[in-house]
Amino acid sequence: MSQIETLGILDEIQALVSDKLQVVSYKWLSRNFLVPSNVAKRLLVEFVKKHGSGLEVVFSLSGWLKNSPSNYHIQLVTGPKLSEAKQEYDGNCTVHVYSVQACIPKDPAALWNAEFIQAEELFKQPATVDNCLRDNRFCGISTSFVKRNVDGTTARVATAQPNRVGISGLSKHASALTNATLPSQQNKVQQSSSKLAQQPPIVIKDICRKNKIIRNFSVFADFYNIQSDYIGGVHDLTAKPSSDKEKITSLPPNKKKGQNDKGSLGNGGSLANFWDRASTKPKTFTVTADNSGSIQNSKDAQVCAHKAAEHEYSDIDAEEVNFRKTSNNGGNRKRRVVFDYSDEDEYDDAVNLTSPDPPKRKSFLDSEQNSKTLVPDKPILILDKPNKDEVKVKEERTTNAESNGSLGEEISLVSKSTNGKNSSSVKLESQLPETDLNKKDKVTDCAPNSPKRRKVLKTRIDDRGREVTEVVWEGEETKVKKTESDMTNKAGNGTTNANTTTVTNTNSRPAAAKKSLAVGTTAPSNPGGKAGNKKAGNAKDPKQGNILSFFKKSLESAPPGSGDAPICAITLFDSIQLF
Amino acid sequence: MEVYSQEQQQRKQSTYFSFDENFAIQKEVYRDQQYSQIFFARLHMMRTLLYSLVPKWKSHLSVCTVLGLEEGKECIIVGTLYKHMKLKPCVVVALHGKETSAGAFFVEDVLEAGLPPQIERPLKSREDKYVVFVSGLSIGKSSSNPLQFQLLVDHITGHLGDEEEQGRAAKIVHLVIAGNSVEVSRRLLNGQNLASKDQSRWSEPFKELDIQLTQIAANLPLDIMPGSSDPANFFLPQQSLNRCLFPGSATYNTFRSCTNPHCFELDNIRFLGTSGQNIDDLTNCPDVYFVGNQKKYETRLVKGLEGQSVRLICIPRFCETGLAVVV
Repeated sequence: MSQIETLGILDEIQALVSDKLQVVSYKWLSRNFLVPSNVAKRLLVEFVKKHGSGLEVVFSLSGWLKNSPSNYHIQLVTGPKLSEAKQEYDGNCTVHVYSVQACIPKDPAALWNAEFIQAEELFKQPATVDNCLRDNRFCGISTSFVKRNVDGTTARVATAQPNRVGISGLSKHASALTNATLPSQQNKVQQSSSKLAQQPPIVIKDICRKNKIIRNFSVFADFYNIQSDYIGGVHDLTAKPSSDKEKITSLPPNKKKGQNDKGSLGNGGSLANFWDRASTKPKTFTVTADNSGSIQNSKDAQVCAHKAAEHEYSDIDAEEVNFRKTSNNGGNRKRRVVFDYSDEDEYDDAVNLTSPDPPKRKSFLDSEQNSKTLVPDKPILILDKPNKDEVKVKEERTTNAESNGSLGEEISLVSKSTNGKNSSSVKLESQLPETDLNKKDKVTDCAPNSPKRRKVLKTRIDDRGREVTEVVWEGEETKVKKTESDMTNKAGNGTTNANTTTVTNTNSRPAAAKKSLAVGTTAPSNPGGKAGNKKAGNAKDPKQGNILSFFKKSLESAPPGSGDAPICAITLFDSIQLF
Repeated sequence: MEVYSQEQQQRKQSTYFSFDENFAIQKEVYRDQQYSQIFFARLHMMRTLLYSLVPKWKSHLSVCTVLGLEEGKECIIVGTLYKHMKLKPCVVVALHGKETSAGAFFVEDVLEAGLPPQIERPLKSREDKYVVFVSGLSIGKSSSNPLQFQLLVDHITGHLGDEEEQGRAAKIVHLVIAGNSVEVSRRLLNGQNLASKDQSRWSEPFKELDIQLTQIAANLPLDIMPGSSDPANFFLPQQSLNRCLFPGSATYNTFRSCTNPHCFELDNIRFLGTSGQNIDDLTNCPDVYFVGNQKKYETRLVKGLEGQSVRLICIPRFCETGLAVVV
C-alpha cells in the first residue's frame, strides 16, 4: 500500500470517527478497505499516532491470566486502563488496537454495531457473490478445505494469497469496484422488487425458480430479504432443482376427489396426501396453491404459505404436512383470494370462460374442446371447490353425435356465482341418451357451503356459439344440498349399495363420477392436469352409465326452460338417489 | 509505507465422523402418552448390567427385590431412583443396605452401572489440536452481549491478536456449539400466527446467529446442536436444527447441524455430549463427555473400572460467563 493510499485511508478514518462519530474497528476497516485484518490493525496504530488525540482508543488484550488454573483471556480495555489490565496477565499479553471512536459508548455492545451493520450488508448480497464475509479472506488463518455450496455448485472459498503486488493497487480499485457493484446489485434488487410489486399480494410462487422471489412467506419474508438465489440455493440442497410442471401434474386424479365434498381443507385424507406430495416438492405445493380451484380463500392460501414456510423450516424430505390444522378455515372464508395470473402463459390452451371478475379460473373445458378428437368423447365435469364468494362448477358433457344423432348437443354446466347474484333462470336443453354407455360421465359436485344457496340451471349461448348450461347458486336452501351431498357421497365413496344395486347402467357411474370429480379439480390446476383428465376421459368403461340419463329423467318431469326449472334441478339430483 | 503482505497460517485439520444417526428420528413416532415402556426397558437393561457387577462389588451379599426385603437383613436391591421434582430425573442403581423397623431402606453403599467399554485410542499425531466448545450463546436475549461472541468468533477465525495468537487459533480444528444458541421469547412460539411486528423479533436472532456462523463456517468446521431454548423437539434426542434456519452458513461444507445428544469422532477420539439435558444411554464410553449450558466451567478426568478414561467437561453458559472451553 503506498504512502498516499495509506494517508487517504487515514483521512477517511478521521472523517468517520470525528464527523460521523462512527466506531471504526480494525475489522470494519479491513472489510471496508479490503485489507487483511492484520494490516488494518497497523493502520489503526498509525492513525492513533497521527490523529489519536481527543479520540478514544480501545485495545484488545489477550493472554494467559495469572490466576490458577490459568484461563486464556481476551479482553477489551480503553486506553487509560491498559497498563492496569496488563498486570493481570501472566507474562506477555498481546495488545493491539481494537477500535477508535470519538467516545466510549455506555453499552459496550455499541462498539459492535457498526461492524455488524457492515456484516449484515455483506451477508445480504446475493448468494453468488463471494465477499470478504463469506470467505473470511482477511483473517490470519487460511483454511483450504472450506467449500461453499451456491446454487448446487460447490465453490472453493477463496482465501487471500500473499498478494504483495495486488494490494497496492487493490485497495483503491477494489473500493471503487465494490462501490460499482453495489449499485448494480441494488438495481437487480430493485428490479426484483418492482416485479414483485406488480404481482398481487398473495401469491405463492415456485420457490425453486431462481429468478422469482417469494413474497408470501410472510413469517420469513424479511428474514430472507430478497434472496431468491439464496433460497434457490438452499433448496437445491434438499430438493431437485427442476421446475417441471409435468411432474406436478402427475398426481393421480383421485387424490383430489375428496376435496369436492367439502368446501374446506378439512378433508384431511386426500388433501393431506396432496400436500404431502407438496411437502416433498416445494414447487408442487406452490404451483398447486396457485392454481388449484380448491384454494379460493386467501386465508387458506396464507395458511398454506405458513405451512409452506413451516415446511421450509422442517425437513423437506422427511415430513408430512398435516393440513388438518388448517381445516378450520372451512368456516372462515372471509377473504378473497387473488390469484396471480402472470403465470397463465403456462396454460396456453386454457381459455377462461368465466366473467372477468376475480378470481379467474382457467377453463379446462375449452382446452378440451380445442382438441376435436376429444370433444365428442369426453364429457368433462369440472368442479372447483366452492367457497362463499366463488363457486364454480363446470360440467361439460358432450354426447357422441355418432351414436345418437338426435342428441348431438353438448351440455356444459357451468356454475359460477358471485356474492349477491341470484340467477333464477334454469334451462336444461339437451336431451340426453339414456342408454349410451359409451360416454364417460363425470360428475363433479358442488358442495354448497352456504346453506342458503341452491343450484339452479341456466343456459346461455357462450361466445363460442355453444350452448352452455350453467348451474348457478340461488339464494335459498333447497334439497339440492342434500341430494348433492348424496351424489357427492356416492362420488366420493365410489360405489354405495343404494347406487349400485338399482340401475345397472349407472354401476360404474360412481367410479366415473369419482374420477371426474378428481379430474375436474385437477383440471384447472395446471395444463398437465389436462393430460390426466384426458387420460381419465379416454379410459372409458363400456359399462359406465351415462350421466345424461340423469337429466333425461328430470327432463321428463319438467321441460327445460320453464319456470319450474329450479324444481328440475332438484329432480335431477333426486333422480340420482334412485339409482 | 512498505507493501503489506498477507501471510496466513494454515489451519489444522482433523478427520471427522458423526454418529448422530443413532439419535436421528426418521419416521418413528411415539404414539402412547405413557412413557413407562421406556423406563421399563431402561430398568431392565441396567438391572441386568448391575446384576453382573454386584458379585464383584459385594460378593457376600445377595440381591433381592423390594418386596422380598426382610427387616434387618443386609441385602442389595436394584432399581430406579428418581428425584421427586419436575421431570423426575432418575437413575438406575444398586443399593446396599437393609430394611429398618420403620419400613425404610437404610442405604450403606451405592453402586452405579459404571462406564461401558472404551475402545483403545492410540493417538496418531503429536501435534496439538484443539476443539472449542461453547454453549448458551442466547442470541436474542436482552442480557446477551453480542460483542462478546464477536470477540470469540474473531479469535477463533484468526482476526484477533498477533501472529502468535493467530497461530494458536490455527490449531483449533473444530467448534461445537452445544445448544441454546438462540433465545426467543416463548410467547412468540406458541403456535399461533405471528403478527408482523413479531416476525422480525423472531427472525432477528437467527439472522444474527447466521451471520456469525457464516464467519465461523468460512474458516473452520462447526457443529451446532439444539438446546432447550432452540426450536427443536423437547424430548431427547433433539433433532438437528433445520438448515433453513441458517441460509447463509448452511451453504458451507463446514457447517453441520447436529442432534442433541451429539456423538462424533475427531481423529479417532470419540466425543459425546449434550446441550445440558439428561442423557442416560451409553453403550460405548466416550473419551470426552461434554455437557452444555452449565452454571460454570468444570472439568474432570474420570477413570473407569476397566481402565476407561473420560474427560468430563461442563460447558458454562456463554452469555453469562463469556467462557468457551478449549480442549
